[in-house]
Amino acid sequence: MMWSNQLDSASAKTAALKSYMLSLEDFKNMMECPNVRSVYEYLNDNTVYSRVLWELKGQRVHRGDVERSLYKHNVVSVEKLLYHLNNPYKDFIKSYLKKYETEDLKVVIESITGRTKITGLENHILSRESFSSLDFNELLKQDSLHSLMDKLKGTPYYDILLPYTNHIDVKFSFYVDMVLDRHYFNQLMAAGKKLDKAKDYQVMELIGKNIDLFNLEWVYRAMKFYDMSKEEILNFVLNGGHKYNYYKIKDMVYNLAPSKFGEYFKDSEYSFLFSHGDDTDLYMERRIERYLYYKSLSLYRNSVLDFGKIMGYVFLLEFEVKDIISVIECIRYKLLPEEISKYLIRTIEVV
Amino acid sequence: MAIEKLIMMNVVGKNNYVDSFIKEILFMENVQIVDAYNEIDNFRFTINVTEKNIKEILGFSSLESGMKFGSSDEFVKKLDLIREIFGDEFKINKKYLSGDINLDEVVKSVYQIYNVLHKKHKILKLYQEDIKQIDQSIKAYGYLESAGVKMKEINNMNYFNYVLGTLSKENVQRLKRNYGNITAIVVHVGSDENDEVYLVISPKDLERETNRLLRSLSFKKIEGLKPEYDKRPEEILKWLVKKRSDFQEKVDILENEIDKIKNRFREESNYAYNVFHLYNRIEEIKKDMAFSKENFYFSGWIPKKMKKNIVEKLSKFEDIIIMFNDDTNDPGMKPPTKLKNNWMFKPFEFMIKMYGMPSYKELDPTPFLSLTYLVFFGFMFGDIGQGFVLFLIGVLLRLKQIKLGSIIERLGISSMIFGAIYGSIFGFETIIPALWIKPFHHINTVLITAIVVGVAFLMVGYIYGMINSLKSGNYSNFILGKNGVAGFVLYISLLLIAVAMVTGNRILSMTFLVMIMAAAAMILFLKETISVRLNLKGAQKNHDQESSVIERIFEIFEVLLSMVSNTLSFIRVGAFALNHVGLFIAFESLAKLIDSGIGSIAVYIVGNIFIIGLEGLIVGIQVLRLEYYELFSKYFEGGGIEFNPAKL
Repeated sequence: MMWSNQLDSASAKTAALKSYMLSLEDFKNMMECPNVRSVYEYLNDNTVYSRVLWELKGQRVHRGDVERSLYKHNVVSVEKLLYHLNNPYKDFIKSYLKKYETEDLKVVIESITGRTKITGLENHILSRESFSSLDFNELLKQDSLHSLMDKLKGTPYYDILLPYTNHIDVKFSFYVDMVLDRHYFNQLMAAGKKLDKAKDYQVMELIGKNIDLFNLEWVYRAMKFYDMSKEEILNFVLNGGHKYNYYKIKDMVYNLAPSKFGEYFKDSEYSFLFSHGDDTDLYMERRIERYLYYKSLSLYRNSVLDFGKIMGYVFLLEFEVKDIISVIECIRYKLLPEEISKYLIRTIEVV
Repeated sequence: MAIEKLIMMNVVGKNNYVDSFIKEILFMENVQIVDAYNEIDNFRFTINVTEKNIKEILGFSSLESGMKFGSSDEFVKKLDLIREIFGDEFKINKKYLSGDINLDEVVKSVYQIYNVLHKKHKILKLYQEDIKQIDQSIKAYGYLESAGVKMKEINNMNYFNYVLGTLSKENVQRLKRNYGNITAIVVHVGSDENDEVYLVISPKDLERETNRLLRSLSFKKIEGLKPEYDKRPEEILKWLVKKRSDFQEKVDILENEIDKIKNRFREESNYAYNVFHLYNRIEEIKKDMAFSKENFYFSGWIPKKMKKNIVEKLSKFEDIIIMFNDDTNDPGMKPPTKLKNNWMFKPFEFMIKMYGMPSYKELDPTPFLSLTYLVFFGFMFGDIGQGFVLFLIGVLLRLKQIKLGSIIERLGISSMIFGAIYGSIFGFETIIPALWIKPFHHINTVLITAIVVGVAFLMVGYIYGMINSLKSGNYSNFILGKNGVAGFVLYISLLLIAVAMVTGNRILSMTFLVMIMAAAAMILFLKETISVRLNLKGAQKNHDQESSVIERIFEIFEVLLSMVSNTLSFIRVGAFALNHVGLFIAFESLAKLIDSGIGSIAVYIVGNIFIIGLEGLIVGIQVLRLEYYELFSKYFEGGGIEFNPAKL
C-alpha cells in the first residue's frame, strides 16, 4: 500500500507548484515592457517570483541580482518536493540539484584563483543544506587553492580536482569545468540507476537525450574550433547517452569531419541540431534547449501520478527561469518583441 | 543576591605610564572597558575645570582614538618560532607577571633562546623534509621493483620520456576504450588505494600531445623518481632505506638536543610568552582608549563596591584623575549586568542566561527561580534514595567541570527533602513513615496543594513584575498593565470568585468581587487611553492608542484566558508527583510477577535507573517550562548585556 501511492502527495504538490508557473500571456506582457525595471515590477506584482524578488524592492535593480533570485526560486521550489518524496526519488532529485553545488564550486574556485572578482560572493551561492553538504561560507573564506582543497577533503570533489591543482595554467579552469560537469552527470546517472527501470524509463530517457545532445555539441564544436587531439575530445565525452554511446561517438570523431555532421544526422531524431545552414553554430544551444523543453512538456503532460510528472516540472521550471532571463537581457539591449522571441526557448508567436 | 550596582569610571593619566596602568586594570579583572572616545564624544567624560586640570582639558581638543596603535616586530617572528618549537606548552598566568617587567631583559632572553634554537630547528626541518622525499621515492621505486632494468637505461633514453602516476578506475576505462589511438606505452605497475598506478612511456616528439591526453584523464603524477638514481630499482630501494634510517638517526639526535634546550629555557620562554601576551592585550585595550599628546583617557564599568579598592590601587600613579559617573538615567548609558548570588543560587544563573540576560535595572530573578525550581522539582520527584543518586551524579558532573552538575546536585538534595516528606526511599513507601502525606493516598490534596503553591509563586511573580516596571520608570505598565496593579487585582478577584464558587466560603460578597473584576478589566481595556490622558511615563503615544476596539477585546480575552491556564498549569506539579509513584508501582508489579529473588531485585534496579533517568529528565524540563513560560512572562524583561571584565 505504502509503496504504490508514495508519489501521490508529491504529484499533488507538483501540480500545485506547476500552477504558479508563468503563462504565455505573462511572457508576452514582459516582452512588451520598455525597460528592465518594468519587467522586474511585472514579475513582482503579478507572479510567484515576488516571493524572492520583494527583497530587492526599492533598490536599483541589478540584472545579476534578479537572475540570482530567479534561480533561487527555482531551487527552493524543487526543494519543496523533497519533503514529499522517499528514496530513490528523493536521492535522485538531490543528485539533480547538485548542479547548483557544482556551479557554486566553480565560482568559488574562480574567485580563489583570481579569475572573478565579485563582491558579496556569498550571496551568489545557490546551494542549500537540503542537497549539498559543502559549507560554502567556509570555502569562500579560503584564500588559496591549497587551503580550499584542504576543506574539500573527504568530499568527492577532492579526488577529482587534485590532479589539476599543482599545475595552474590558462587551461586550468577549462579542466575544472569539464571534470566537474563530468562528475555531475556521473553521479546523476548513478542515482538514476536506482529508479524503477520499467516505470521511470521516460525520465532517464530524457536525461540520456540531454547527454546525447551535449556530447554531440561538444564533439562538433571541439573538432571545429578547438585545438585538441581526438583522444582528448573523446576523454571528455559524457557517459550515459541515450542513442549515441561512446563507441558511436568514437566512430564519428575518427571518421567524420564537422562539415559532414549535417549529412550524417539527416534522418535521425537530432537532425535539427546541424540542419540550419549558416546559423548552425549560432543557435545550437537554444535549439537543444527548445528540443528538451518540448520533450519535458510532453513528459509532464503524458505522465499521470508518476515520477515523470515531477521531473517534467523540474525541467520546465528551469527553462522558464532561463527564458525570463533571456527576456530581461533582450530588453536591456532594447530588442523588439519579435526579435526577443528568437532568443527564447519556448516558441511565442508575436503578431 | 541581586544585580550588582555598577558605575562608570573615567580616568585621565599620563602617557608615560599607560602600559603599567593597563596592566593594573587587567590584573583587577573587575573592569569592563568601554570605548573612551565614544564617551568623550557623547559628553559623558567630563572633567571639572580647576587650575590643576587645565592641561588635561586642553588635551581634549587634540584627541586621537587609540586605533592607530598596532604591533609588528622582528621580535614577534622570533617568538613565533619559539612558540612553534614549544608547541602548546605555554600557559598564561597572572602570577608570572606580577612583578615589574624589564622589557629589555625579555627581548634579550628571547633573542638568546632564538639564537640557540633556530639553527638546530632549521636543520631538523631540512632532515624531516628529506625523509619525506625519501619516503616518496621509496614508494615510487617500489612500483618499479619487478622491472629488472637499470634505471640508467630508462633515464637516458634519447627519444622517449617516462612518467609514473595514478588514474582513477573510471579513467582507466576511458583509456582502455581508446588504446588503439594513444601515442604512448602504458604499463600497469600496481595500485594505490582506490587508484591504479601506471608507467607511461611516450616519444619525446609527441610530448605535448601525451601530456594533454594525460591531463584530460586526470593523471596524477607520482613524484620521487630522480634522474640521478641510475641503478636497478631494487638496489636504489635498498640504498634509500639505509639513507632514511641514517637521517632518522640524525633527526632523533637533533630532537634530543632540542628537547634539552627546551628544558633549559622552558620557564624563561614561557615568561617571555606571557609578557608578549600581556603587551598584546595592552595594545588591544589601547584601541578602546583615547590619547592626546601627554595624556590618555580611559573609561570602564566597575562594580560600585570595588570603587574604593580600585581608587587605592590606581592612586599610585602620579597626576592621575579618576572620576565616577553613576547617572544611570542617561539613556545613552547602558550598564552591563553583573549577577551576584551566593553559592546556593549561583549555579542557577546558567538557566537565566540560557533565556536571556536580565537588564541592569531589573530585579535579579535568580533567587526566585532557584527557590521555585528546587521546590517544584522536589515536589514532583520526592525520593530520598533517588535524590541521593541524583546528588552523587551532580557531584560527579561538577567535578568534571560540567556546569549542570551543581544544579543537579542541589536538585538531588531537594528531592531528598521531599522524599522525607513523602516517606519514599527508592520508590518504596512502606519503609519509613511520611512526614506529611503519601501522595498516592491523597490524590486531591496533592493536586490542590500544587495549585496553591503555584498561585503563591505566581503572585510573587506579579510583585516582581510590578517592581521591575517601577524600577524602569514605566508607570503606565506598573499601574495599568496586565502584569501591573490592574492585572494583579483582576487576578486576585478572579481567584476569590473561584474559591467562593468551589467552597461556598465567601470572604467578600460576590457582587463586590465581580464589580472589582469588571473595573480592572475595564482599566486594562482602556490602558493606553488613560496613560496618555494622565501623561504617564512609558505611555506609547500615537501607537497602540489607535489599535482597534476588536483588537483590545481580544487582548482582554487573552489575558483572562492566560490567567486561568497559567494557574491550572501548576496541576502538573501534583500530577508528576503522582506519576512518580505510579511509575514505580508499575515496576513493583513487574518485580512481583517475576517472583524470584535475583530477578525481582534486577527489575527494581532497572526501574529505579529508568525513573531517575527518564522521569528526572522530564520533570526537569517541565519545571523549566513553568519557569520560562508561566513565571517569566509575568516579570522578566531581559535584553541586558553580561558584565565582561577585561582579563589577561
